[in-house]
Amino acid sequence: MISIQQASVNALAAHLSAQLPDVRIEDRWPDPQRKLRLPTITILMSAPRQDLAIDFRNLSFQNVGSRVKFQTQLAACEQLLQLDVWAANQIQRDDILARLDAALNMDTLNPGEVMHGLNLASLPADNWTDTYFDYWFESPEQDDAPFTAIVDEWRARLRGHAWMMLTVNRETARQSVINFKLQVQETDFVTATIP
Amino acid sequence: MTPEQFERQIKKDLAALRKSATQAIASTAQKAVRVVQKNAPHAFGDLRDSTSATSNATKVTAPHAQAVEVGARPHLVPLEELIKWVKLRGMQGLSHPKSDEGPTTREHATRVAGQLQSMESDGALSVNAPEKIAKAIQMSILKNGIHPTWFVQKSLPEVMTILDIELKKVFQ
Repeated sequence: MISIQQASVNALAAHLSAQLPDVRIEDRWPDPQRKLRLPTITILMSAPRQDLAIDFRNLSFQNVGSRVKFQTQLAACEQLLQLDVWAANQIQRDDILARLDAALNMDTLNPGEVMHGLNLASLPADNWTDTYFDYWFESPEQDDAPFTAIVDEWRARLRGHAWMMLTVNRETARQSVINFKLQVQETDFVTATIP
Repeated sequence: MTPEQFERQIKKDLAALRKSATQAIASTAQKAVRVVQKNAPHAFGDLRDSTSATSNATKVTAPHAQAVEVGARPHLVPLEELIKWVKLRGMQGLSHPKSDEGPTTREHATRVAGQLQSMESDGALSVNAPEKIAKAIQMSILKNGIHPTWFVQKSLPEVMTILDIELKKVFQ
């Protein structure tokens, strides 16, 4: 199982790998014991996931024999991210930042459209079917320390947000769903046209 | 009420609201100091001392605050700063070994004090002892860097709750 917040990082990593094929993308803090291979972008979750509970919303029903699989939305989630660009020199860093401006403002679900931020579908391998992620990153910060030039690792940092809907998948007897739907139809508040 | 009186009253009310909102922000900034101090990593206890509030912001002014917040790759830290830090921690550990008060944790102060004591010879401490420990820390940061802790960012949800409460007091 992959958590939904990790799935949001995985989807972003895959997207950036496709958009910046010459840049190494990692989802962990660079190992201090080894020299960083440059250029690299690291994506980190910088705070615990924040959830806002919502009214249950059933997204899909799928008949499987005498049983039914269904997917229900439970919560709206926000994950804070830190994206670090590590480059060998200032020119390379600026080039990556310029390309990130395009890669992080892209409507991948409606190619050709323009949007603020980025939206992505979850990766099939992560098993979050019909789950989509919205990202928005702040403008980059470059805080070059005195040691930057000595170690030859030019860094830029972007703080970002990923938003997603948390869903659960359940399987139950088909008759239970039929009974539930009948109950819903028989209640007074259901709008229906009287012939 | 004439239109002129009405306009004057609106301006007066808006000024009062603005003043109250400014006070709410100042109060939040003061309360946020404790939240940030609580979330500051124990290994960098000196960050707590350098956290303070202005009329509209909470600041952490220690020179290494940003590196602790967002991480830093292995690098050479100036030795003078570290020696100052080791001396302060060592004194706290030796003089108040059972106290949790002060800008560092008991464990940290005790550990530094223990390192200093282990360097004693015939009951006397070499004047070079703090420098040796500082060099060890310097080498550790040079080798391992600082992993990001996001202690300020993690404080934000609690600070937002405080701001919400303070503003509700004003606008109710």
